[in-house]
Amino acid sequence: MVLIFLVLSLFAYIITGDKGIEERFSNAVGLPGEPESGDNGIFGFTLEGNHLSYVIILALILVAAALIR
Amino acid sequence: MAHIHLPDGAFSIQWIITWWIIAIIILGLCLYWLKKVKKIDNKKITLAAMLTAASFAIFQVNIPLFGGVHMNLTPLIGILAGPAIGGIIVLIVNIFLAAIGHGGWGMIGANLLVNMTEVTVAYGIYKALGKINLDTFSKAGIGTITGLLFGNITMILIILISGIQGVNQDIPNTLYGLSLLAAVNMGVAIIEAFLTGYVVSYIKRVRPDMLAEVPLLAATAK
Repeated sequence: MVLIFLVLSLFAYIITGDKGIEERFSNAVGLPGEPESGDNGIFGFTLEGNHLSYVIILALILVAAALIR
Repeated sequence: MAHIHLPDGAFSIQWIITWWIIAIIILGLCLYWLKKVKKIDNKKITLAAMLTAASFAIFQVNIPLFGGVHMNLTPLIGILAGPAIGGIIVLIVNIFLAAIGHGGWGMIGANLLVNMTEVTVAYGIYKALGKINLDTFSKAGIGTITGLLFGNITMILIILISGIQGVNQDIPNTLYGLSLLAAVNMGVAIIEAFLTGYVVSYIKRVRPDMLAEVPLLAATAK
């Protein structure tokens, strides 16, 4: 099952081309997709959305989890 | 994994309201379950908070694979917390995601249904496989792949039913495009399955009580 999914996934990737997730989604439904650009992140790993908001919300959830504990 | 990455305005207002209403009904059932059937204690609330943080944290990380994908840990949420608490967790995560621009506000209802499918199917498969002599890693891995597969199917169905405003593409082409997208997603589902399998089997080894906390729904029903 793992191999089947991996092969299908690779085929789908080759057909759709090297695109970011938002662009791939827009193209799939027929919306004009803009190429995703920006920073290369750390080893290619990047953060989506607003970075500051991400850090603030994540910190708040972790603080809430610690307080509940 | 499966997540409708469309901006507000892609779905008509009727469909946004429809998906929201269905999501609210399911959430209502989750809350009713937690209030009347399966009482929630502080331990479970802490677990839910940690799973919310983990899911939110990983949801935003774009992995440099197949051009950029992300995981969301919904199967892990289902296996560890169960569908009722899982429903509340994915609601909170989706609200936070919309707040930072990952998916539109109007898409929360539809995305909640997609994520609830992943949570519930992963939980159901994991529990169902409990009757078979399989190791925890395999049970969690199979549950994850199946959950994410059904999540992708739900995502495709919601988009096909709703239609996209201002787009002239016919349904077969949209189905073809979304099927390719789902196929790419399933490649990442394999990675998520390994991750979930490892985490669940580790928890089973060091904190088996955490997994024992989630009994079969039928077994706890009054």
